[in-house]
Amino acid sequence: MSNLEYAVIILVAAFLLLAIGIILFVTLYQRRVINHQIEMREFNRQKQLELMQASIRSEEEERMRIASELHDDVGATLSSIRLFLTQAGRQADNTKLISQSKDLLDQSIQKIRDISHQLQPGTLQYLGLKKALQSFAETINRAGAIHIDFEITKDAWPEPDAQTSLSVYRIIQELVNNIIKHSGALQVHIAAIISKGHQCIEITHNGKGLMEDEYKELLFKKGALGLKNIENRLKSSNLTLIFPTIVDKKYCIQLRLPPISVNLPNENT
Amino acid sequence: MNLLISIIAISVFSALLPVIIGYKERSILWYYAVIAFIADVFGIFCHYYRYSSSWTVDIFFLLEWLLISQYLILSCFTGKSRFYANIISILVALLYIIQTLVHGLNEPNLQGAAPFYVFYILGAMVAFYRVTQNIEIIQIEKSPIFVFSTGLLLYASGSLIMILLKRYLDEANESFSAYMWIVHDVLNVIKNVAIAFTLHLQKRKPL
Repeated sequence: MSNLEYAVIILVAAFLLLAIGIILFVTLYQRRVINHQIEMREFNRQKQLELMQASIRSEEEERMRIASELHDDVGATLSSIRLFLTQAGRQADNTKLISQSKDLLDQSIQKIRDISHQLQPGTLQYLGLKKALQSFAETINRAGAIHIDFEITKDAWPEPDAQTSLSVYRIIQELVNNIIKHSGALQVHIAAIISKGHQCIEITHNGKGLMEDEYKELLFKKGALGLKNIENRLKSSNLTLIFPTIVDKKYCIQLRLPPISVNLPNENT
Repeated sequence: MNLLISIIAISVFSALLPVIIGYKERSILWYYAVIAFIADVFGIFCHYYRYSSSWTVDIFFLLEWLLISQYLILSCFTGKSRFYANIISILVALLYIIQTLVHGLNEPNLQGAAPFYVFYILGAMVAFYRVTQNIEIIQIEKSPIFVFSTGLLLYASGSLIMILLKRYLDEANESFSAYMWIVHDVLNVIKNVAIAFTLHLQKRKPL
């Protein structure tokens, strides 16, 4: 065989092998891409399921808490009142029993008011988010373990709609609870600000804050019900959590509200 | 020699497979299969009666180019890119016509047709790229454009060197050239089977 014939055989074989290689590569690559997409879809489905389960679990826990408070506290107090009133009926001149019953009734009324306030804060409903956050800060301050101050940097901070306000309030409540429980902070500063054209609630504290990767990691772990509820509320109300940046040894986390149609003032952070 | 004749016969009649399968819904590829079959049969007829059939080979190369490039352009390009691809297709066809007229019609202009095969390889690559980008395609082997491009890529990459060097091989060793042409015939069968499968898939799913 001549060199030309050898060259032709080798070149034809090489070209064919290359073509087969390309076809195999495309087939395997496409299969990998599809598998990856299926995995991602399954992963997202799992995540949605977990969030849904967390939401149901949290609802159930809240119901149990209310039931136990009504049964153990309000129920027991009302039973005592009934007992006192029965006794008072037998001893018409015993004013001490009537007075004790009145005290217990006051306690029950306060307890029911507290439960009702926790379920749907009246300040939020009637006075708006800013006042509700202020009232929340004052309530925490009264306990004395930590000091929270609330600040509205601009008057032109429009009130969000009722649904967004409730979500923001609950998220701030959960974040502050987490700060009290886990961060070791002594000072917390909550501010309603306008940042990059968005209304934001900024929480700054001097404790150890949760970083974004830790937050995401915790979201996929069992438990962490509070964080899963935060995630649910973020999604349902189109809110964004901007994760901590450390400024002057202080952690700063921002809750960004969805854009609104009103003209916002320029950035003021 | 019998093996050689058998392979040539299978290669010629394999074009009937897409013609039969795609008869009810005739598309570009169906017309291509019909032209390929007629060209091959006419070539054998001319060879048998010792007529010159080189001009039919030239016409076949040109029609093959126009039909296959049109199919690839319709499958892979949209908007402005389709317009530019059509311009390139026409320019390449015009270049081949001019080259063939200069080359003469006494023997097939195989070297002039080699750029077609280079473009077929490139076209198949573009089609593969489009297939991998299309997230709707879950089973790649059931995508008509992938099946067609697979057949075309094998056919074009195996035939390119043969077409480019056929004249030199014929001069050097005619029997070797005839045996090597078997590769082209086998690849032609693969391409026709791929077209038949493409037409079958297109019955269920358009381009």
